[in-house]
Amino acid sequence: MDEQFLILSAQKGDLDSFNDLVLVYQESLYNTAFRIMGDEELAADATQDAFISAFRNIGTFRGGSFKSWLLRTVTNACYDELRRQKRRPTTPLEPVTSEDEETESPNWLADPDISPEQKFEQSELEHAIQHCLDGLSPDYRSVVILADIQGLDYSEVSTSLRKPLGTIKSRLARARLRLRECLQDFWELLPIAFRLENESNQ
Amino acid sequence: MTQQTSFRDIKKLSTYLDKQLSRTEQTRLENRLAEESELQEIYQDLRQARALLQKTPRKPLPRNFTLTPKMVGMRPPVPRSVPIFRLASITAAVLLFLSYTFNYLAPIASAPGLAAAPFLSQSGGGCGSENPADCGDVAMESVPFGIGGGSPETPTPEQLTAMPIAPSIMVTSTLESTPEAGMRTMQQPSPAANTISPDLPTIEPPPSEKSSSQAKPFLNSFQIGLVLMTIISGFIAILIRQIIIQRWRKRL
Repeated sequence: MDEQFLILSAQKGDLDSFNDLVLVYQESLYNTAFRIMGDEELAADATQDAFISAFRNIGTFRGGSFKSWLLRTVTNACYDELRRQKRRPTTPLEPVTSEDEETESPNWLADPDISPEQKFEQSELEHAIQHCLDGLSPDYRSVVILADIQGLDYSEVSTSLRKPLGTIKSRLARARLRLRECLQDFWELLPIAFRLENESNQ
Repeated sequence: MTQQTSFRDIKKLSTYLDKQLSRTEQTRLENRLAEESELQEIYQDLRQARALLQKTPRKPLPRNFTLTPKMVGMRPPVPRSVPIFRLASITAAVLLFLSYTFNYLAPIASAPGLAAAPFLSQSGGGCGSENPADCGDVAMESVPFGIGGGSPETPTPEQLTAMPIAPSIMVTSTLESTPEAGMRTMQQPSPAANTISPDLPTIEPPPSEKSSSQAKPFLNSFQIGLVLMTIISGFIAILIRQIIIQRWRKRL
């Protein structure tokens, strides 16, 4: 269905139309939140809060990229949560295996379509990326997530974060520079396929 | 990063990576990349870092994030008639209260001399005692003219008739309710009072007033109307609201 029509209906209070939009963008928002927060539960909470806030404030949407507008709400929700955590640090409870051992990858998240080897490589890559992203300040992190992971262009990132284009360019360059330095430590641990691909590109 | 490759250069490389440089700047940077190996190396590292980020695996969704009406605090639409019925019910209830209070207080407020009428009726004629002599005794004590005290200012029967009797009866009943009063009644029998009591005229309410106070219903027709209006309009408001909520839930 036409996005503009759904937005107009949602602005009139139609929750079903808004939920159609949620289904379209929920993956992007959740992944953005997860990369910013580095925690699945917190990311899920931030995503839900962002959609609730978006529905309540959809009347303020004045056109442009709806995805950017939604990403702004989710980054704001993440910033709020990070600030809250700074004030009241908490220890997350890890899922527990049948032997009462804590695990970072619970069974219910396992993807049955990938082989154990692929799963291991994916896990290594994800761990390396998340570790390096966590080393950045939230401002740099959100720019690099929106530009490089979500694939937004500069103007969309600028709209999402309400920062001038020049600031976005500077932050993105600094973030990439720091990520480059960080990822070099993990280079040998990265998946072979990925390294070969990069070497052939050179 | 050396002096040759400043942050400005890195920013340009990053922007070049995203193909956001102007044509002239792009040509100038490409020439430098061909000449400066260090700049070329940094460019490759940035490109690799970006490629790695683009390859970041997507996290599967833990659940759907669709919203429910409860989440966003949506309420069923209230029809215009509901507040009207609600207001009617409240107004009728307030009017009922006011009218009942007014009816109850009006006789007391309008006739201060007969303010004790309710007490009179409650205490069975203004005296708790079966013995009329006791009643007469206390009544005499409270009469301001000093009846029974052998005073020279003994009122005439006309004065007694005109004298407000209600306060004296009220005092009587009040005094009777205290033990001290009872004791006084028993310890200080006043012969003078006994002698004068037969002369006191009996004050009785006019027959018409008496019959009206006895036949007065608990609620008059106006008040019954208000009661009905309170209940019916309140019930209609609740009924309409329930129907609307049920329909709204079914639609969701």
